[in-house]
Amino acid sequence: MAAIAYEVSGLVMNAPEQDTDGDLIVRTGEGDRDAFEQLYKRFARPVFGLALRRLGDRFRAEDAVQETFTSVWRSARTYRPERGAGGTWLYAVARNAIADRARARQEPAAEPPDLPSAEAGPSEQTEDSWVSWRVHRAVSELPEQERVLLELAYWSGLSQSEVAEYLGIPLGTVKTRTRAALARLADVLEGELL
Amino acid sequence: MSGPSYDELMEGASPDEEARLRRVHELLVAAGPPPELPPSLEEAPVIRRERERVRRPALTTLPRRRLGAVLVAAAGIAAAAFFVGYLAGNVGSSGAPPVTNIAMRPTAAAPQTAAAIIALEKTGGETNVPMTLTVSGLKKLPKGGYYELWLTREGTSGGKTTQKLIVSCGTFLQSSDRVEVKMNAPYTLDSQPGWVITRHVRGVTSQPIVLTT
Repeated sequence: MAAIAYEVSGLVMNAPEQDTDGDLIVRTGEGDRDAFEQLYKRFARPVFGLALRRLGDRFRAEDAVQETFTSVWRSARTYRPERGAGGTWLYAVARNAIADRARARQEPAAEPPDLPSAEAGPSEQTEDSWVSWRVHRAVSELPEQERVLLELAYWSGLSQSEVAEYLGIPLGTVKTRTRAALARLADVLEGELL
Repeated sequence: MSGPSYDELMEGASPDEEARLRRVHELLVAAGPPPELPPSLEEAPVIRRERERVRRPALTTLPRRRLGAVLVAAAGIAAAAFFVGYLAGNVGSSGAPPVTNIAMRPTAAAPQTAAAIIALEKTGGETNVPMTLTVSGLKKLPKGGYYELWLTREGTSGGKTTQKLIVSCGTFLQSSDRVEVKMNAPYTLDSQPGWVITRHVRGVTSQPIVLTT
């Protein structure tokens, strides 16, 4: 059992020889199921997050994820790497599947009140969704040590001291490494969101 | 979640660097954590139709790691000592020793003194196999964190040997240095399965295997 990795379902492996998203889509288009599974592991959570934000309903979001990856499996052969990054292509497929699912929703019979809404408009929602999509994907591309540190620092609800205690490293080291991880994340996002 | 204090992180940074990292900091706070996948989405849809019994995706494989001889020896000694201690403390005292004891050893993601014993109470093609899991030496996790015991099967993916998570046998907390938990394997043990324990910390996307058979 020494050859197994220490990652489980739905997660991204950060091995140096990791295929690009585009490579995996191309191989999926050739019928490579292993590539498809890897693609699913990388993107199932971002797609689910996107669907949850748009649809606001877990069951419909689950359906949208299934439909997204069914579409990916069927249409991966149409992907052209020279036209854009794989993640962008998959985002478009997901967005379409989620939009289809949103249109399928039964509309209420009564007219909604004609009042200004505090919710973000469609274009703002699209922008927010894209930003979250890219941030989650970029974090998953970081080396394991930096990724876990950022996840603990930003998403676990732990204080910096608690992160230090959990990881068994000095508080100063946590701060130094968090800053280094932020810098690496900035490199990954450079040109897209920065 | 607001994230760490940005000003504390940026002490001594140049204005340009500070502005660049502030943007990343704000993006992380705005994005929030990705959601946990529900069980229905843990496997890719096309693949699921083709595999009826596998309910979890394959663990990915990594090149074999060269573990230091000292670490291996230390882990072996710790596991052996734990196993002997476990048997001394349990077999005979109840009058009905477990049918099968399975020792687990730590991976690189766990303290090398960690160890566990699974005491299966039934064997031989039975389903719903009750067991007692005795664990020592794992780290106490932050609030919301937990450990999970999985039954696994060996398989292949992309020409590599992999361990597939088949079914969860339950979760537990390492609330003290040594804990004993009753669990159940809802599965027919028709051959020799593998076992792993994974670690789950809120907000952290990876769930590393910390103990394995």
